[in-house]
Amino acid sequence: MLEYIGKRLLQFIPVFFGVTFALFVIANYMPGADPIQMRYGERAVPPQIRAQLEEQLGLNQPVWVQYGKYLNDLLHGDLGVSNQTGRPVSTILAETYPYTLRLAVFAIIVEIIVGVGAGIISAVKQYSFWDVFVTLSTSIAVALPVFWLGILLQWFFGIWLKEATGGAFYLPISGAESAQFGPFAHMILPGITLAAVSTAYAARIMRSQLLEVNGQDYVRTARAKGLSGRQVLWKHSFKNAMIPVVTFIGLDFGAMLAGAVLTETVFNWPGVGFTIARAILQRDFPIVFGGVTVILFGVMIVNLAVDVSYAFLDPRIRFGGSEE
Amino acid sequence: MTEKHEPHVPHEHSDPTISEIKKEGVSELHAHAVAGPPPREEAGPLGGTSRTLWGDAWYRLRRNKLALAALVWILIVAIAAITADLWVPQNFGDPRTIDTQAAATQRLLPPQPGHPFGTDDLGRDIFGRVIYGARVSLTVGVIATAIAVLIGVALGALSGYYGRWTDSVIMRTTDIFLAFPYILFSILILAVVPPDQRGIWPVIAAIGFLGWPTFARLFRSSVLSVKENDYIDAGRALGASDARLLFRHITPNAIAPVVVYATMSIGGAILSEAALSFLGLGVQPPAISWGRMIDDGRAFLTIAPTVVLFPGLAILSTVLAFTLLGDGVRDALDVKMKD
Repeated sequence: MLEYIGKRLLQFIPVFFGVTFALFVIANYMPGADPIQMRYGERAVPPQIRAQLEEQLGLNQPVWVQYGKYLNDLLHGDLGVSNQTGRPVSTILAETYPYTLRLAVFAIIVEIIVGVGAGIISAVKQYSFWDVFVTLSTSIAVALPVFWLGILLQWFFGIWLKEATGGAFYLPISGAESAQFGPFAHMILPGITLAAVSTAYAARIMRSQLLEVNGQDYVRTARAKGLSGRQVLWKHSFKNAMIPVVTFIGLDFGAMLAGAVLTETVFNWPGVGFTIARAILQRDFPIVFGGVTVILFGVMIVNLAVDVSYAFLDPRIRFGGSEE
Repeated sequence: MTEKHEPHVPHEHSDPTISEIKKEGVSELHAHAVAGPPPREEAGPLGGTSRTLWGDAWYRLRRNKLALAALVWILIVAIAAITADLWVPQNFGDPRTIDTQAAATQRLLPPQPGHPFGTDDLGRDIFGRVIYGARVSLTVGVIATAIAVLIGVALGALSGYYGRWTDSVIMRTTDIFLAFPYILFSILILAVVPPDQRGIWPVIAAIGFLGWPTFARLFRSSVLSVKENDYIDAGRALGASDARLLFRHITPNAIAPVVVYATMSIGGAILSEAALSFLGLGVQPPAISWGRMIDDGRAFLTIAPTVVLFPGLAILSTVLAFTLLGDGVRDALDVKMKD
């Protein structure tokens, strides 16, 4: 198992350098990504100021020196300053990240309860009405544009059902905390929106895993021993079917941090994603790059953690040593 | 180490379609609708003369009602988009231009005769705009996927056929690409494109350029299993060159999973384009994009929800059609998609 974990950690190293190098190249060398011009917006940059800034920012140094400096800044949490406000990007992100995290946690809870639950019902009662319903609705959910779903929910609960819900979801209250409604009222619609697609995938994976496990010999043996359907389900099928689902949900937490850009934009949720979307419109590049970098690191760390935890979850890795 | 030895392929979560393909094997959604492989004695589409893999697949696909319905829907959307110039402006007013009179008098109308989907805040017919929007969506979906397939198949073939360091370099590169969540990477690339140069081509380039790693991995594992076959050894013994083996013998036998995933990817690319245009990074007005229409309509949600509703339905139905068609193609080609 230690060998497996060690291998995973080693594999992370090239990914880390590759990702940071890609970020560095996009920020500095993409056509249109002139770091000096970016500070000036649409205006022309006077030549002597350009030369001065190149000197000051170290842009006349070799690429690898610049990359080294970039990495060094990154590891010290220095992401530059906002073009628009002059505040350090790291401060802005530190203020907004908790919101993104809170929404992702809420969405994951929805995904676990609804996704896993629907998957189990669907598999246990295969070909029943509920199974068909779950299969159909998950197929549709997978093709949903997230931002459109968010807007539709706003319209349905906020506007159409405004009276029935007492205005709890009326714009612009949905997505903003308010003393009048419960502490979670503002999270419900953004949370559902963020969770929707993943929940559909979780349900499908849970269902297919459970069906696959139910076809295994050891489940048949358990039945033959005379265990009840319920005992077989919880003691044998469920535990084995859960391994890929847990992995999926874990990895999905990372994906949710990234997917938050659209959901947060729809609901004006003051997280990192919303901050990035606004910065794009204001052409505030340090915030865009810094925000993407921070989310990216969150995703990479979550992925790594899931990979490593897999070693604990799956006994074949824990005891086998071989990964086959 | 090869992909096969990983107990879990860690990156594919960011692209759930493929992990789902791997997990599910055969789609349960329409398992009942699939007629299964045709009996051998029954005459196939070619009258029983010679039967190819693709002939068989087409025969099976035609018997899958859901996939067929999806295909028909895609064709309807495509034909409507291609022929739009011939009938949309004549009947619904040109949705690409702003008529100041219509903008003043026909603002935000609900659906009605003459405007089946209503009008937007500038008095333009939403039905016409949805039809023109299909042009952008389908173009991005098809071309971006084609780019991703070309790069992915080429690199996947090299990786799977030559192995060793070629394989390592290419696979570690896919690791890096797949570590980036798709939407974030494209946001990053498109954010540096100056607003006056934004449009359909940067979006196609970004989506196509980011899509290749999944195809490379898929084709690589497919090549790996095909190249073990005896007929490859036979070809080599007869003196066939690497290029001939790869293009004439391995690729035709290894391409099926790529075809399946490409079909589904078109839908994925359409979703991505819509999301990027929604964020203002994609197609710019006066060009029409479904994602952009939804963004524009948000401001009028309280008074005219139809402005947001119809472009979204267009995205949903088109993406769903490509997913269902992909499912159907998978069943028809009998691809297990478990590497």
